[in-house]
Amino acid sequence: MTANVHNGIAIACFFAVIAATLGITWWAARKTASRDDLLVAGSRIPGIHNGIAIAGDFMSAATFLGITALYFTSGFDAVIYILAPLVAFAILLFLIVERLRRHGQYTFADVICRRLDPKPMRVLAAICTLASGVMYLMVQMVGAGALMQVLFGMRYSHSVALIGGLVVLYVAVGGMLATTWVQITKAALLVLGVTVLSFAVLMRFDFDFNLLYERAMHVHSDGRLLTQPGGLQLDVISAVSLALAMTFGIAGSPHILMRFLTVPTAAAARTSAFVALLITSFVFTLIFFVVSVGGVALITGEPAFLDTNGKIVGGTNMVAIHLSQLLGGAPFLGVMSAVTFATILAVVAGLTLACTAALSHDLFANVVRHGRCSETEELWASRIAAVLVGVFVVVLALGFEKQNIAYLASLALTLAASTTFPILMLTMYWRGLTTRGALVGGGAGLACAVLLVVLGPAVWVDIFGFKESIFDSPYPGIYSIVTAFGLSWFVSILDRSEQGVADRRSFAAQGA
Amino acid sequence: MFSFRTRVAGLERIGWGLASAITLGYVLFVALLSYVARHHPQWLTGGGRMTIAMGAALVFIVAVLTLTAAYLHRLRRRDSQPGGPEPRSAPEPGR
Repeated sequence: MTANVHNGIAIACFFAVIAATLGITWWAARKTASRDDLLVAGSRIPGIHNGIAIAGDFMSAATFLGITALYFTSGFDAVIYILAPLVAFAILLFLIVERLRRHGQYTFADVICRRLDPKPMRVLAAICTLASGVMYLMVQMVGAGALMQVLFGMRYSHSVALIGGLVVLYVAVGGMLATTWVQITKAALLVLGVTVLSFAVLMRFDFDFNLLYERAMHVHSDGRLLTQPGGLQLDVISAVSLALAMTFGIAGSPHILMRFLTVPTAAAARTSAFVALLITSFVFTLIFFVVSVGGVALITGEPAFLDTNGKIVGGTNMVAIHLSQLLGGAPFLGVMSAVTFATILAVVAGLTLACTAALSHDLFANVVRHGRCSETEELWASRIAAVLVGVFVVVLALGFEKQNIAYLASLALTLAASTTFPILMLTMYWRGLTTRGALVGGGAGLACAVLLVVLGPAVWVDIFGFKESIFDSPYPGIYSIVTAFGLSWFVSILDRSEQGVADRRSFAAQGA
Repeated sequence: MFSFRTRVAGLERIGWGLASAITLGYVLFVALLSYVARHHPQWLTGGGRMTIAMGAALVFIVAVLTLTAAYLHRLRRRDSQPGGPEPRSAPEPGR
């Protein structure tokens, strides 16, 4: 079942990625001496570099392997996942990044706390960041452990420990600068890998799209679905709910928001968003229109990639990897496996850093120490927090090895869409928002998202084993988002407290 | 007169309009796809290899890129004019 156990090139590329990232960390560590350096790289990252890093931070192994797999099984409906990030980056560029950069320092909570009561808002922001961050980290780590077993023949526990150890080293020693360059390296490798793979697919079909699509539709069990919707069999509400949770979830992801604080100006933050949008569009367009179709056309029914039950070796997530082996032999397989490994490292590093900042800056420095924490103390608190987050996630990933935790990925995005995004948008744009409204709305959005996912088919039926779920749809985003916005508004307009009056007054002081 | 503040507000309104249009366009596209696939699948039968749905997805991607590039260009022009970008407010200590 292992693709690369005897592939020397894969092993060499694997060690090259580790060596390169450790070299980056060593270089970055010498430039990381303060809290600013560790958490936001001193806000000195150029806009274009940051844009590439954001693309690297966002595009996880799930985008490269998962979307190819989703197209392989469900066809055109994978387009929902392709377009959501583009809409999210557009929202970030048009509405969020400029104000975020102008008013934020280390985390998005800084923006909220400029006009609302800092203590409770920091606690809520940290809870949201840690909840969505740890869930997303678990999905990445459990997926990475399984993937590394297939790609490099490593034991699950060894893979998880290796990734956890490396990432803690990047974050605790090299901080944001190391994380940024790991993400830039990964983004460059991914763009290069996907471009070469697309070129190889098209070359196989003499650069004739008609031939490629004809072949794919011919070999697929329901070829019609490759170019037409219906594969996911979503009703309208579920489809809209998924689309909103993806879009607002990405736009409200704390690890993505934090990246916009690493640039020197608001203009550089805008440039970052645009560069990230460009790179993501390019990679996703190639994956959706070429690589995925090539996967169907060339891997379906190919005996070399089928197990004894006639299923794809390693599962449908391996389609893109098998495709690289088919088109470029062992060397290309080795390179693409290393690209996937780099992808995992970069995403896990970004998430770990966001959780670290929530623990050290939001909770420790501003809540526990009431903002009277020295810079050195906060620097060391951040390093300790990075180790704690790393150890915690590795332990969770080891415990959940055999569990189906795919639902956590959608829950993490739904949480960000139902808590971070509404509070941030209302803080920035609505004069009437009060601390009480934000706490009730954000808390209700969080509770609603968790409750509806637990009562939905992904947990109630698949995990708990009940026959029918209490809540029909696996996508509760539309309900939790509306709850968060609605309750924030309703409680705020009823709020006549002194704090509420001060909160409204501070909107004008916040400026544009 | 047309003050700097008014121009910022004007551009921000454009930003809101574009963000709303893109989000609404995406949500309506997704809703329409699932509606047609479930209730009127016959509308989707036949057609070429590159269907209307695929073409629409491509057009959407190009439209988002074009609109954001145009908006970014407008913001750059605003920033390069006298008065420049709005001053950056430093975060308050300890908050």
